[in-house]
Amino acid sequence: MEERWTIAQIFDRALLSPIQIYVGVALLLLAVNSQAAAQQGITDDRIIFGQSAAFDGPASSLGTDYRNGLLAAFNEVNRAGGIDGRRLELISYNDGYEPEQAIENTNRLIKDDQVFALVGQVGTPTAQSAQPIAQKNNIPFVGAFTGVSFLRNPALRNVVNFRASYDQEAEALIDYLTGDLGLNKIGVLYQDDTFGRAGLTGINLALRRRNLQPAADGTYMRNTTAVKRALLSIRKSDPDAVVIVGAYKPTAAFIQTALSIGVDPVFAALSFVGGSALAAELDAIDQSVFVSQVVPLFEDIPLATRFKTALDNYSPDTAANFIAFEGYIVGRLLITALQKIGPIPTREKFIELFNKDTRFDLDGLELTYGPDDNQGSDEVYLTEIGKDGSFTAVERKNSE
Amino acid sequence: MTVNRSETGKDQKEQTTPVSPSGSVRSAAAKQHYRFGIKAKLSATLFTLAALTAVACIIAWIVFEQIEAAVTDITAESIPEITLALKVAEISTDIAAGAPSIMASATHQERLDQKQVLDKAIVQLNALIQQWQALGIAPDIAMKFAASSSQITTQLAIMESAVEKKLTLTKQLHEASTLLSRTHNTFLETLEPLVDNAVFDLVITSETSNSDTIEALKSAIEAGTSRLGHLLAIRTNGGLIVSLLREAAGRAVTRLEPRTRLALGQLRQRFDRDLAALRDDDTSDSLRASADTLLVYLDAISSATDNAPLTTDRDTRLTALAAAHKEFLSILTPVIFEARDEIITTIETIAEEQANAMTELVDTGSFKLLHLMSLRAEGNLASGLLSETAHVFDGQLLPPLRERFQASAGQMQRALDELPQTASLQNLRQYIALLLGLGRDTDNIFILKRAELDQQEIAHTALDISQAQSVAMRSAVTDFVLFTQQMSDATAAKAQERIRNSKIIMVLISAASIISAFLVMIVFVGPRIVRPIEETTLAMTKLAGGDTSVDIPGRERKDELGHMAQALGVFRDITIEVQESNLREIDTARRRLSDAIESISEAFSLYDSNDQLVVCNKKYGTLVHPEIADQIRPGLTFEDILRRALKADFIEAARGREDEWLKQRMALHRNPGPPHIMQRVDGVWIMISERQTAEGGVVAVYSDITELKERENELAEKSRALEQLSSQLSKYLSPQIYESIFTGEQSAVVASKRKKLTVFFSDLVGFTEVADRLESEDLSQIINEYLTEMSRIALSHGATIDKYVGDAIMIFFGDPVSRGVKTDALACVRMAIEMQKRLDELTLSWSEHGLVEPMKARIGIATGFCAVGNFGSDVRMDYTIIGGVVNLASRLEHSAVPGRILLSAETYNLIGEEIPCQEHETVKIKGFAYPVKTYHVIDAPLQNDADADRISEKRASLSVDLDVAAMSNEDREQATQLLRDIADKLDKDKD
Repeated sequence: MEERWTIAQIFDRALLSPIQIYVGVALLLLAVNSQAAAQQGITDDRIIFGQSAAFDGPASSLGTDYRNGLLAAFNEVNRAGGIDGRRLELISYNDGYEPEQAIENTNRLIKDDQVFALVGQVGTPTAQSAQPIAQKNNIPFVGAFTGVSFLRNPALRNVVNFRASYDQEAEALIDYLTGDLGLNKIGVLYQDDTFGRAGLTGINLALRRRNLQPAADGTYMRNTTAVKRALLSIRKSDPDAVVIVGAYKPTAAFIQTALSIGVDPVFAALSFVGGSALAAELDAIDQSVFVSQVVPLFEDIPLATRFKTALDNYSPDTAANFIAFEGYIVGRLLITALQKIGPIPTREKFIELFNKDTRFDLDGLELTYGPDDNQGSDEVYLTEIGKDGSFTAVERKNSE
Repeated sequence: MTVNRSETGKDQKEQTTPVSPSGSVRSAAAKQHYRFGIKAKLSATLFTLAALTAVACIIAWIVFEQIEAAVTDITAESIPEITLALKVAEISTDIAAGAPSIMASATHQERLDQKQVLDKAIVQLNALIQQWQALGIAPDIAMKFAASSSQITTQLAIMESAVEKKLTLTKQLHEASTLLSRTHNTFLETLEPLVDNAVFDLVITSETSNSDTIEALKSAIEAGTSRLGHLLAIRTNGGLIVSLLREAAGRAVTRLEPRTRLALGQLRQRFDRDLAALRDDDTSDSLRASADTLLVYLDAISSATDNAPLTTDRDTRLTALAAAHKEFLSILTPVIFEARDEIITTIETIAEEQANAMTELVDTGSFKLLHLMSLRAEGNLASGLLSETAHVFDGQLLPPLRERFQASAGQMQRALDELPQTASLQNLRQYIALLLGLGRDTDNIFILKRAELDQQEIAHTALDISQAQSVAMRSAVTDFVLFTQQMSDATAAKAQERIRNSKIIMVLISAASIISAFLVMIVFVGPRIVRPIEETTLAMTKLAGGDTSVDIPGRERKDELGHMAQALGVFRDITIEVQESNLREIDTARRRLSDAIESISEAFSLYDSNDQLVVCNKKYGTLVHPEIADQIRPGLTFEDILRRALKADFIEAARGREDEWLKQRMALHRNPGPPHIMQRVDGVWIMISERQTAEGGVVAVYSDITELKERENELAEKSRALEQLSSQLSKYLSPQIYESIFTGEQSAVVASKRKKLTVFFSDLVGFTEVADRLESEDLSQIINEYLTEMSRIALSHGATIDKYVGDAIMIFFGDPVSRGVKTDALACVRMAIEMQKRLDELTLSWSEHGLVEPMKARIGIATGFCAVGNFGSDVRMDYTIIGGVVNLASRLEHSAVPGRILLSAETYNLIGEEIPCQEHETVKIKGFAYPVKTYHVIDAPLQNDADADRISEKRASLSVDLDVAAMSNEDREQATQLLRDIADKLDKDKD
């Protein structure tokens, strides 16, 4: 009401004097500009990003590691003077891997903190809840830590994915298990929520392509390690291999309990499990555990070297792992995108950049986006957790 | 009234004023002062009418004032009142509309905002009501308003506070709901592993317990049966050994056969092995001791060798063996039974143990699982009930919900009590306590909800009351507006009535005004002013018309009219005097004029502009119209007189064509021109001179010219004879000569003069010979044609033909008319050229007459001075020329080549520039002292053709010299135009 009056008065006065027109319009523009800038999460010296992820509970290491990777990338560019003089900052809220909390956090990040973009949402059900809010406010939703297919819909202009989808991961795992290892009785353990069902769908698709179907399946409740009933039901069909779609703690519990009651199939898990955390939980077992990864093994590629340096610079005590690496890559993607946009970034420019054919080269890792493609990478890397908890790349018999 | 009084006064004064004699009228008029004249009366009348109009205006003014007052009543009082009332209604509507939004507000901020708006509206409302009261309009409504307003304020305050409380409660409820949701979640997540573990434990424990039992049974059965087997083997082997030994002893051999010995050895080994396999216990030991006894005998018997034959005490030994065997068997048999019993007992024990273990598992694992499951179910139910409660809208639903919740909580408590007090359940207990606390503690969801609903109810009630008050206010406003409308309608009606009354008054005044005007007209203006003026006007008109006998009315009046009448009387007297004097003068003039007219010898008539006879003398009748002289009198029209004359048929020219003549005569009469002549039947000629007078009439003088006319006719006859004569003569004379003579330019006297002329001679070569051959008629036709043609050509060139001598022609130029020597010479030469040409044409036609050979003419031309005139005697004269030039021309003709034209040097000098010539031989001519240079025209026909473009003509009143070839186009056009004009002019003149 008051603002309208002010504008009206400006125009009233404008009728009297041309100088006042210019002054009035300039003031108006200035006001609009500064307001817009503040709303866009961008000030003269800062660009603020928001993250809602699990920092406690059975998926806490996912959020923490991802955040470390992101901050390593931000820290790297901030030390180099930021982007056009603006420092990158990240506000993270814990949602405990609960969708309700994720919704609250997302609203808070958008309304109170007025972040430029949401980044690194961990988990499928949480992403499913948070993304519509971001979409409604036309806020970029970048690098969600999930491979669920609904985020891969190109119609979602504000969504920018980095990683390969669960379907692609499931396909790679199933291909290896049924092809290279010749195992046909495949059991599935999945988390009883959208994430788990997304993984299950991917696995079912992959199996159906090979005229197979799951030998058995079992579910567990999110944020619990209540996997024993699932184990009992899977045990009945005595599978050759069990593919696990879940977080690292229940996965580890499942594997350990299975081994303790003498069930010893080949175990495989989707990347979401968090390979390193899983390895740490398992604590040296005498059984093969395969994990599909969406980032390469960070042994001897330039991007990995730079990541390790950045992570060391950011937090020397933090060990490098796949999730942190993914966080770092997404951070680098954000930085490169902002650099491409130029000195006056806006959300719309950012979204526009990813909705046209754009190629990003992150020290050799190539990510491509376009009008029909909001997923940067299609690569899936298979790894095996060794007895000492180390990861080795799986040698494929017949590389496709 | 004043008017009336003044009028009365005036009348009185008029009566008292003495009647002024006519003499004093002039002095009064000079003074221009009438105390009660028409001016005063008219002024008084008009003033009266004006006063009436003013009264009407005043009344109209008052009426307008009243209407204005009425309108002002409506606009200045009713409308603001209505506006105020409508404002009240509007604001009360605003309040009514705004109040529910307080109810609907979700946050305290919203509520406060809405409250602010409402408070403002209420303040406005109160202000309006105060204004209303201050205005003192409809105090009962004001009271109602005030009451309603305070009610609304109170109720809104109640509602507001209720809403405030409700919002606080809602917030608390919301928080409790959130807590409930979280607690429920945590509860489930805590419960899940417990259930999971319970299931797993149950399955795994039962599996373990089963396998243990099977293991125990297996080992028990294994142990039991193997002992039993050994025992049975021992018994069998023992029996076999004994029977083998008996058999050996029975055959009474000293030594055992090797075969028997081997069998015995094997049996002994099995026996020993079975014995060794027996477990060490009391029964086994006693069995072994007994066996040892048996074995001693056995060994004794079986050890019988060749060295120590079993001969001596074989029977004894056999008996001993049998006894030992019997004893062994007596020991062994119970052991076997014992072993069988033991198997049964062990299995029974194990079975019992397993049964116990299963019972234990069900007691602990299954019930635990059951309690956990029931905890989960009841927990879900309880939290669902709480959640439902938090969102319920109907307070009546609260007690049943609470009852069900309490039942559920009791179930949970019982299940929890059944569960062991382990640490792993501690968290669960805590969450359950929290969950149940939401429905049981102070400020639990039920209480909060109840309070919230209560507050809502309070708010609703308050709102309803305030809404009802708002409605009441609005209806009061409607009533008031209706009332005010009625009021204003009444005012309007009152105004209407006033207007109607005023209208009547106005009509009355207007009527009075009109009647007064009529009365003034009838009583005063009509008889006192208009009628006297009319009478005076009539008298004046008559007077102007010359009627001096008219009576002047109103002379006795003492006002302006009276004075005017008196003046008019004076005027009449003067007019009469002047008239008489004028008549006398006119009479005298008329008599004189009449005498004058009569005294002249000619007839005289004067017609006025209407063509009526005004005056004529007697002569006019006798001379012009003697037959109708007696009928002619002034006043008849000219046409009338003529018609009468025509009827009498005495106008010569009109005979047989009376109408036409009449028309002509009338035309002449109307537009008189020069005098014309008219012949009467009796032969009298009359010359008529008519002139138009200034006033459009016609004056005519008629003279008798009969004598004159006769003489003229005589003369004309003579002159006609002369003319005939001269026409006969003309043929023998050159037309110029004839003309000169008959126009009198030259008289036919013998005289001559010297003039420079160009003389022409022509002669047809050899014509004399031809003439002899031809018939005289042909000859005369040929010669006449030739001469006629030549003469025509000569005349066309303006020549004077002197004479023809046979076929020879003599022509000269320069007399009687000369166009200048040079032009004469040129005309002459051109004529000669044309003649030559024409002759060529003529010779062609002559061939028809038998003239075969072509005729050629010789032509000679010379220029010079010679005498010209009439030469001869008094009896016979000839107009001719005499001189050397004539001779020269004649000589040149003779010297000329036939068909050629020979010129003298002088002629050549004149024309040489224009007509190409060639010098010819000089000719010696008689009478000339020196030979004469001659020239002939070259290429005459060509020259002629070339000259066709040139037109050269000179006459007495015509001079043309046109060289077409030398003219530009523009010149030609101008010339054409000029000639056309000339032709037009000539044509016109001809007409």
